[in-house]
Amino acid sequence: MTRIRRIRRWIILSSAVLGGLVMLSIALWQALRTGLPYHDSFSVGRTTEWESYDGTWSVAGGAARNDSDDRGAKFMTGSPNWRDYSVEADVELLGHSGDAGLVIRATDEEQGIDSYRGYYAGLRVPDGTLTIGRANYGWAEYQNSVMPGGIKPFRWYHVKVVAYGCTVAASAVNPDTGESAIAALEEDLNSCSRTGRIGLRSFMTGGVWKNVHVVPAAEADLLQMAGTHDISHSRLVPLTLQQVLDGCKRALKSQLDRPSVPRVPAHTEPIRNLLVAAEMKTSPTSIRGAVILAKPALYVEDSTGGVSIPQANDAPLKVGDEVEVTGIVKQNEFSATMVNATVRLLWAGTASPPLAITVSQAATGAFDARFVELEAFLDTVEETVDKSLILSLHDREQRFRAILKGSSENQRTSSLTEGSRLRVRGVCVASPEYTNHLSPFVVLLRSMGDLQRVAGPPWWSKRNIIAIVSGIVFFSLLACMFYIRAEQWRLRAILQERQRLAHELHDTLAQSFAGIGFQLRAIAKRMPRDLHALHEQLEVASQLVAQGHQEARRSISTLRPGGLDSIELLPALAHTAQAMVAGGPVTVDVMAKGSSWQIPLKVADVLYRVGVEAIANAVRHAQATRIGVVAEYKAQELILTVEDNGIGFVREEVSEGFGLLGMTKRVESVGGAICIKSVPGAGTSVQIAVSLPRPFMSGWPSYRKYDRAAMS
Amino acid sequence: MGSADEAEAEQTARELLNSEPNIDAIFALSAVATLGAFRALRDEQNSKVLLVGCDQQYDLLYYLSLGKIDSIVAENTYEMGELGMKIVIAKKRGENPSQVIKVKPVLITLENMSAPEFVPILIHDWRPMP
Repeated sequence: MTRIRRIRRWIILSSAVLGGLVMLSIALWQALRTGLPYHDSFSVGRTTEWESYDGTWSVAGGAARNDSDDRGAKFMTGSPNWRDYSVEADVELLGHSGDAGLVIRATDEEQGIDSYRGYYAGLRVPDGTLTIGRANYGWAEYQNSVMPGGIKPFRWYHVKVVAYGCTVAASAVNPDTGESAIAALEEDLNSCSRTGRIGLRSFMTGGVWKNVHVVPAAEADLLQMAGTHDISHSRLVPLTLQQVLDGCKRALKSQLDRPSVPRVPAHTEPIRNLLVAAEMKTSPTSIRGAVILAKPALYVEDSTGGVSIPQANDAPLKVGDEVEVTGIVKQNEFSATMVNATVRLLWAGTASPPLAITVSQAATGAFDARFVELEAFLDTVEETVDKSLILSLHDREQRFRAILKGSSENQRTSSLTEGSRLRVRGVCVASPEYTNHLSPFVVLLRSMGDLQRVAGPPWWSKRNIIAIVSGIVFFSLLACMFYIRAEQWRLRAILQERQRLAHELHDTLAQSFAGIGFQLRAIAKRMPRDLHALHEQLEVASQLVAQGHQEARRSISTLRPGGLDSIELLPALAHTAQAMVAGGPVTVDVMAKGSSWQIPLKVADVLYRVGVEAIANAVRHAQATRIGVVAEYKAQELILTVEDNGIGFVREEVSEGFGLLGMTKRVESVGGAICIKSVPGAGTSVQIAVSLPRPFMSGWPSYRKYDRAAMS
Repeated sequence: MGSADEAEAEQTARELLNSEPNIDAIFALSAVATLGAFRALRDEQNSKVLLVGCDQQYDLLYYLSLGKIDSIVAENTYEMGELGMKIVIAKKRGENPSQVIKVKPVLITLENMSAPEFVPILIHDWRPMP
């Protein structure tokens, strides 16, 4: 490869790397910048970019919905790099207690009440305020602004939160009445959260959010919202005891007076007793418990057991609601069912934590109709025509399915890769209506948030192994290629060095020999003819010089491969042979048999050197008149033959003077064999055979093509 | 009584009041159980049975301030968390921390609920003491 080609290749390579780096940084910059403005896709049922932390999040009617009274359910999206921006949404509360609103500049979110760092502004029903504060794995409330007319559940409010610098302001508007409230806080430059994501959050109530819209904000937006408003600067100052008690008084005023738990029916049964009592009773029975699943069927649980209520009246129930159910008990195999049931909402409550059990425990049926959490490996995921999601899972030998019923908004998230270990939360059901007798039980999920990936699939999947093996093969080939290329460079360097030596010899030693010969002849001419002894000595010296000159020329011609800087075996041999016999009566015939192919540089070099040695022997010692050089290309080997019609020799008589030992060594170094046949008076034949695998890739870097036309 | 379900606690308290008319006091071991018992006592209009509850929940404090609950056992939850973290850190350092640590609770009554040393615990004010 010439220097220019090598430089060109380097330029191409480095510009490709540089281009890649530029593209990467542009993509990174885009990732940091983009996403704003953001608008939700709830209207088309898409929530892939959202992440849930607690709660039962689903999308219906173009809005995101949390149907649980979880303490601190969050639904997060956006980029942790968002800095100065505003988020707004329409918010509706689904209960008489608790609050719901928007999170801004959130980072480090986890499951838990205030488990995130960021700011939150929400509407609170009990004291009818818009509240703003900061969460930092704890809650610091800064300001409560009373909403004129109060905050009422099942009514839409428009909430907007702006964060600019270290100031966060929020406004809430009742679109029906036009009443509004503003709350704002400002923090130290040192301690404020400057960037983060957005989120929907509710606390001890369900909520519905729609039209979530995020745009970059400037100082003007902040001034417009909270220009004249009194911004709270106080940090982490909790309410005083009196304020707490006053707040409670306001909040509990209605509750204190309400006949919260009706006296009739006077007696309710623990749910476990239903199984025993069912046989004997036909009269209605009452139970109390918390809702653990509202859709597709109502399931209620107390601390003793769970019960299913298939045809419940259409009360708008949320997970966690405390209810009283009166109905006729029917016994199933493992749990009871209440038919013709009347369900009455007692009060909103907090969803109870699930029972952590193993898959084998669940398979016994003892946890039928209970809210459970278990871990298993995911086998397959399928989506049915009614858009339900059915997951097949297993743990050890036990198989079961998890079903997320029929809302069209179910999204298959990226965490659902087959083979991963999932933590599944939901209602354990052994009823054949769901199991179809295919598995001992199924788990009815409440939302996608009930699936949590514990660990990804093991790395030794079929695909990964194939990828790793192909990677190894690819890199080995690459390493091989580089090794061969390096070898080639090394050989080339050797050849160049030989050529330099040849030039040196030619310019110094050979010139000196010529000079000495010339001087000797001059001395002989000028010396008196009668000094016979001296003349004889001069003659010997002249012959020695001539011989030395010859030797030097021979060395030069072997060092310099035919004056070519590449190895093309036959042309090079022909060139060197012609140079050796120039002016003499010897004829040299060079020919190739079979279709020629590329040979490794190292082998070509050895063949050339040994070939030249054989030709030189024929010229100097054999007194031949014809020398034949034949290269025979066979399927797996190359045979080079040099034969002459000279006097031949007896092997035992010749010493290393012919360089036979050197020839043999050289041929053996490339794994070849040499065969020298000679009959006194009938010529000599030197045959070199080298076995070579045919190249399997055209353009393989260690081979050079030469065409037969170049040979003469 | 110590149920984690308000309705259940209420029912238990009610059954207790009916079956044992001569009891003097009810001790409830959680905020939820206290609230359940409170509802039962209120609905039975029973004012002679004293209610001693647990946990410093705001609505319980309110009922305490009204004299409807006799007293509340309050815990310094901040200290509990801090000690818990210290155990975790000690374990990480290879030390062998004590397995049981007792945090002294305080009994809050109408009389002492405004005392400066108890107010921070009641309103969850965990700023360092001045």
